[in-house]
Amino acid sequence: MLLIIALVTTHLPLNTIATVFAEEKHIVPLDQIVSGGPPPDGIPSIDSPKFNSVIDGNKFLGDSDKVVGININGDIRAYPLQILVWHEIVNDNVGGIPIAITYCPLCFTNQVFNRSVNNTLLQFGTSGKLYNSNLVMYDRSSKSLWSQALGEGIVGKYAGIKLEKLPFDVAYWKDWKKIYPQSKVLSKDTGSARPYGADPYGDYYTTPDILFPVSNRDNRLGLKEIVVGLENRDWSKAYKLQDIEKLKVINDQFNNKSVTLFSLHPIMARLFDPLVNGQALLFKYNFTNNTFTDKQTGSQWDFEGKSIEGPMKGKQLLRLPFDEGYWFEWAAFHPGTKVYS
Amino acid sequence: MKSSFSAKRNALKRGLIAGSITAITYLLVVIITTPNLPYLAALTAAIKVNGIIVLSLAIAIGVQIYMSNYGKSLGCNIVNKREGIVGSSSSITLSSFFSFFSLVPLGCCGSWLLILSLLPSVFGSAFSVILIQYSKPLSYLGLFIVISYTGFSAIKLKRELKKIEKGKVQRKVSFMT
Repeated sequence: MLLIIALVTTHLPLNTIATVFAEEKHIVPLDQIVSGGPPPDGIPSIDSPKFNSVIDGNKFLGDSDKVVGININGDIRAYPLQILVWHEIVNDNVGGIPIAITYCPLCFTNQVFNRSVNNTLLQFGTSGKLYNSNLVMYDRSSKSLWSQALGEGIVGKYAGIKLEKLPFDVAYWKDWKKIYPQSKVLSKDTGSARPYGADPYGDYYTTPDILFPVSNRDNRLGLKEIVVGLENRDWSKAYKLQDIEKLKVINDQFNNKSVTLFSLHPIMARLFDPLVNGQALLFKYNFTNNTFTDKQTGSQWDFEGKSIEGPMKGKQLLRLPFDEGYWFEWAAFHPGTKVYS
Repeated sequence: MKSSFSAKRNALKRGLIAGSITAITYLLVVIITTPNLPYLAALTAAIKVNGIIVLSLAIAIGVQIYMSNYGKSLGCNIVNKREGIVGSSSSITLSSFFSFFSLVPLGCCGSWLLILSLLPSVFGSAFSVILIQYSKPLSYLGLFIVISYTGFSAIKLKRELKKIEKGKVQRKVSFMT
């Protein structure tokens, strides 16, 4: 009897979300925002992050541990996924910019947002709700709900407002510390006792199937194929991370704009605007010295998008943000997306 | 003969009810802890991930209750109330609890992620890491204990039945002589 009462009450949120927010502005159907179980902040965000040096990071991180890495104005920081999996959001200030590092393990979506919206500084927490099986955040001042995958307010005062996305890397610790030995790494001293090092999602990342229904199942790629996604209003295009890794460089057109993708290290891809002096450069990879050469001037470029040799020496490509996650998530949020081939 | 058949039937009925209750309780817990999924999706997922555990627990408990009741009807107590019940139910709880860990991938920010995140406050961080990493073998260990209890009960029942049979034969022989 008690179980039946619990059953009814725990499934009430499915209806009450729609009821509670009925009067609120919203841009997605309210009945598609469902409770994951825990209350808001049941999975606590990290709001006062502490950092270690790479040497201290080596004490708890193995070479194959994945990190979300950012470099803003020379302030370089790594956020291990083994910590993010228990918190999903880190509210931080990096290089003078207030940012939120977010991670949804189920969709493998990592995203870094600027927390400043219309000159208001927001702090994000986990709402305990899901939209399309993806993390729904809330901001602690207006209590608006935000979809991580969309990077947009979906219910409340900020519904329809997009967050500014910032470029980031997902990298193996081995590669990250080699590229950025001066990097800081998020400390396990988060203020919450969590079993860091144990991944509660087990073999979920390596099994091909998912255990929950998705709104738009697209079989063009494997459900858990990691894709890099670009979107612009009604346009969206996905690139298999494996393709970028294999080809090292992809010169492509997206919505009539040139884009370039570089990859020099496993699971690490970067997107650049190849426009320099009004000219869209086309790149090729140099196997000999692990750099890129533009076909127009023959200048050499590094992974940071900086020309290190040739007529373009000193020029810097503009790095652009992108979405990254499992294919099933990208296809659910972008039905009809194009796929690079 | 007739009373033995009815005793068996009653014991079977109780065994079936106990087995069903075990399976239903397990599945209800899954539904309760995954409010983001429609009932059917939650049940399908639970059976897909932990089908062996659910089915084996239900059968083991059903068989144990059947044997206990059948034994009782024959006048023998094959399941030591205190040890048997406590041992069995703690093993069921252990097996179910650890098998629930595999349900974390049913939802981001899900109930089981929250429950797992509370483990360090009970067991400490290092031990919690071990519990999470070895949750699957631990759930099968729990199942093994439950099945072992059932096995012991079966052996006990067999012995008791043999004793009864022997007693019957002896009575028959003494009657003949």
